[in-house]
Amino acid sequence: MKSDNKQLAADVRQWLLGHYPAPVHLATAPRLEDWKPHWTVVDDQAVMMLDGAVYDAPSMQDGEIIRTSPVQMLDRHFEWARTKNRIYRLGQQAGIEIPLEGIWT
Amino acid sequence: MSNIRNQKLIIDVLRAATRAEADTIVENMDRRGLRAEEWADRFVRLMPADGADIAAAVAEAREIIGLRKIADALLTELNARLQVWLRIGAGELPAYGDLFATVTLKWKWELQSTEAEKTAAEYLAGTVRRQGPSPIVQVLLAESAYAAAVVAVDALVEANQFEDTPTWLSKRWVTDRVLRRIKGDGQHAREAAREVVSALETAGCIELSLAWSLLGATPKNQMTWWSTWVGIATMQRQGLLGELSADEAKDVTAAIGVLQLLAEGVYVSEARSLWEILRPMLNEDGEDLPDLPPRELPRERGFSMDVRPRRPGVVVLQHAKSLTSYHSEYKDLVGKEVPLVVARGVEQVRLRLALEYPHALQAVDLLTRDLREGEPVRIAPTMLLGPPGTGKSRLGRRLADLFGMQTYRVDAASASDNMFGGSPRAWSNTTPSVPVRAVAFSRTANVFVAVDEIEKAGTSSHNGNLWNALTPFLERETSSRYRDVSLDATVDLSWVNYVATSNDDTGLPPPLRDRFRIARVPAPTMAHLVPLAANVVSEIEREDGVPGIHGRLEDDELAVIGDFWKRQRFSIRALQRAVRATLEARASFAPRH
Repeated sequence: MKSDNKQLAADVRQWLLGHYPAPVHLATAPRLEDWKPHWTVVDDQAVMMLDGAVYDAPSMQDGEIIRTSPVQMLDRHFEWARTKNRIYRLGQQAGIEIPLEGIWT
Repeated sequence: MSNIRNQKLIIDVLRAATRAEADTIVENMDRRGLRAEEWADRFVRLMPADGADIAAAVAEAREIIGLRKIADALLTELNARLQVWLRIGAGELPAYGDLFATVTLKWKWELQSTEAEKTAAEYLAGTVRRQGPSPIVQVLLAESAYAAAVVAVDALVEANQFEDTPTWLSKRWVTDRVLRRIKGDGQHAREAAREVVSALETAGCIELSLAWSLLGATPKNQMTWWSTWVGIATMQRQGLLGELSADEAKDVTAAIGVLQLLAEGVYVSEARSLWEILRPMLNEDGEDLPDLPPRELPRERGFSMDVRPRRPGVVVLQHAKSLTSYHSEYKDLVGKEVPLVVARGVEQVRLRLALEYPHALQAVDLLTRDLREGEPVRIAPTMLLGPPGTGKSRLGRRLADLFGMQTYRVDAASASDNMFGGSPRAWSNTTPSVPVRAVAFSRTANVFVAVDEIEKAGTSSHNGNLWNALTPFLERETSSRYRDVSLDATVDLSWVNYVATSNDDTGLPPPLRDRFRIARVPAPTMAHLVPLAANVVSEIEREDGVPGIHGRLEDDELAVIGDFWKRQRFSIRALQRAVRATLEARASFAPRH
């Protein structure tokens, strides 16, 4: 846990200097599709988490719906997000396209 | 002085991703008896400050590369990389220790960006060096709007060396636009700020770009705040906002709180800029902004911590004297404003529904006719009346979905008593009425309550029945002061929206029928086959996660589906089955390679 925090602190510093994420980390990161933010409060602090379908994650099935841990860094173009524990590539955002849907009764 | 192999190794050194990698390559040269050029050895040991050494090493490298023919793409890359080396040596680009890593990151940018962008980036990089680690973000947040503008502009235009450069980043231009932005005349300045953000990002100055994105974002678009807020909040948590006095820390926390609300979309209906939102939290004297050149930063202090969003809301439960342990979820409601969801994009919603329900345009019209853009979503109680399988229940739910609202569903067919109105608190496990539960569940005062198959409710009046229990909720007069038998308190439920569905309204008691607006949802006809089938196909594709894989249905396929559909009396469920079967058949007959 502590080492996670250390890693995060190091990553934040790297990011502020324009050195994060490394392309190789990004290429091997799990992908989050159809994602949308989820706002909540953890330890009296407002946090943003992401809900979405995860792909290419080692311990999860493709398409599994997950909620990430709080987001710590978010790319301005929504190409990646660094949560407390890991980095995700971000795919299509939920709700910005207008899909045609079938009709369910 | 060098042979081909040696040249290749030197190219390898130039392309090394990190200093460690370059080091290994040089070591390998030694081990294999290829006497490494002294040059390569020196190259690996270069530091950002050794400007003259870098220039010399680069010149030598160019010479070595020039000796043999190299593929064009590689040559371009090498030249770009060497150019970055030179820039770092000349202090035009920031480098952070490992020069190889910096060059690997930047050479593509060197290749692709325009001269103007490069100038801007150099300029900003210089600013970063001068500013040192003291983050501008901190100043932006702790100071008033005016101070923020001054600091931001100063940071950019401090040095006048680009006065005569006709770039888009000339001093006057940015100053003028950013200040106009602060004074509330937005669009141009916002665009300018966004361009600066992009340039800063390209140059790797994320921290500055966060500061500038505060100037470039608009409250109307919550997405523009997401990464800004996330980044700044993380910096605060990591203690990267610099040295703050207790006073400043409080202000910054309050300001970050506002950013979070912006990101969450609380201020989407807000026409004011971030600074104007923050200003009420400052002392009064930030009103008139003097003209440039401003030098003294006004030191304004004392945000109030009360950052209350301006969203509409209504107090549902004013007082409740004695709530029992069964009411723990409703305790939060007492005396609090519950937010109302505001209608956004009414026209798009109407269009979407019309596309999805081409056979029920009248119902769509009735459902959406009360909605006003920017006002809380509120519709008259509506009953969707039509044969089974025409999509009635889903129509109501889709309306709520499209506004991002929740639907609390009640199945009338399984309701044989008046539980809709709640059970009196004399009973041990007492439950409030359905609308109260819906409000508490969704945390919105104008939640949708869907009563499905209302005509199938039990009609015995022994334990009361759904119809009678439902009736008082449907009129605003009574529902705004409804006495909930379980909470033993008066509640305001006048904002709750009701959508009922029914196959047949003849059995319904007239008082109930009068209170509903009746919208007929007829069965679709053959004319709707093409759009509805297309909807079903894309729905299936979405389920399978492969959009566009099935393409469109062929005419002969549609003919078969239509035939079947007609025999099934145009039920949408039947259409779904038919389309699915068609696609499966198509897959099994597809030629295999």
